[in-house]
Amino acid sequence: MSAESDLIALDDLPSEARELIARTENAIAVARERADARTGELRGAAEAECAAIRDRAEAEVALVEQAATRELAPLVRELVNSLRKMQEVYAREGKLDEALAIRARIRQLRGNLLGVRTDPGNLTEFTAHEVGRTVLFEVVGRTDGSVWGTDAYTADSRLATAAVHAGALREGERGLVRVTLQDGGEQFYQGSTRHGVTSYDYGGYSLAYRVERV
Amino acid sequence: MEYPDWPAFLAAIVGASDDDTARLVAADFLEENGDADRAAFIRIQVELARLEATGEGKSLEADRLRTKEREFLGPLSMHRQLWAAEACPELVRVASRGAGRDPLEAMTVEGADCLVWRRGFAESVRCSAADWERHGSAIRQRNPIRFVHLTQTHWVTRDDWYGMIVSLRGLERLTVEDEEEGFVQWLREWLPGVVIEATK
Repeated sequence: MSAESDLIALDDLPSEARELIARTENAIAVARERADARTGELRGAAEAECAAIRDRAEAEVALVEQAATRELAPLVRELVNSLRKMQEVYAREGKLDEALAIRARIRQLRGNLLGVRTDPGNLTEFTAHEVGRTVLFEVVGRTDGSVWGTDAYTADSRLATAAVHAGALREGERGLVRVTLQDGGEQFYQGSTRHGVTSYDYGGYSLAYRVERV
Repeated sequence: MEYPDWPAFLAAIVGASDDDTARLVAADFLEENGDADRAAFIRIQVELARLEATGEGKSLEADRLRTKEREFLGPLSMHRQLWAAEACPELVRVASRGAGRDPLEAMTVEGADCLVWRRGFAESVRCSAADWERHGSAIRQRNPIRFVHLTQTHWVTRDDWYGMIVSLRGLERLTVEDEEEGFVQWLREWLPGVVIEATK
């Protein structure tokens, strides 16, 4: 049957049939609406229940974390105090290698606690969401490698070289530097020559950093 | 270190936060119990505050004390991190940086910068409004907090603020970020005597 004949056939539909169809459609709509409302209620209740469970779990997790912190912080302090006393005793007894080894271990522990990171090369692992964040790195100053900017450097600039350019470290010097992430999108990175390092100009790079000696 | 008597010292210090006597007695207690560093730090900061209050903040003695203070509070100090974790475990966390490392190697302290120390104890705290809502009362019970700086205030509702009022009473200054002047006025009515500042 063609589309035209379909239309003609519909025009001929008796009112009795039309009413029956309309009543059925209405009943379907009512049933659908009821089911949708019930589904919505169930989903809403489930979401509220999930949120309540999540909140309770988060609160419990926070309490466990607090308890762990209360327990761990004094433990570490006692360890450091004891190691320092031990170091003094070894030094007094002339056992300098042992004393120096203990000192190095304390420093290592300090580095861990302070969240000191090893040199990552550049800072492209960070994102613009982390602007304002400060991170400590242990770095050996270098004069090779590429750097863009002065004082504020593009995130893809080599950290060890930027540290020398900024005057935070000398070439070959190992030290801790504090890096502060900055929004770099709007600025022009002006190159310059400082401390034996020449940095380049750059027009726009979304993330920048400053580096200073700790 | 968590001595059984320590909460009583803290309660006395919080209860009379302007009085240095309780702080100095606490310092003596700590020294007698083997915590000489913490005792020294309290004495240094108490003396430094006294010099600053009497107009001797630029004296040689004050400079000498600041140098000592820096040994405890400087960016490379473990003391600052661990004291902060002990004073305020609600905001400062001894965390682990992932499995597969030695426990000590993995251990780090997060959030210690939220506290400012004065006269030997945490005096100022900076945190999100949601964190303060959850922990403010507990933090103030154990620390003589005078200044609070709340960030991300847009996440808390007016009802939440009603709930927080008690934990903000008696402060010297409250700073709220991203709040309109109308709201700040409302807050001032609820917190008489507290200097309230809004920053962007």
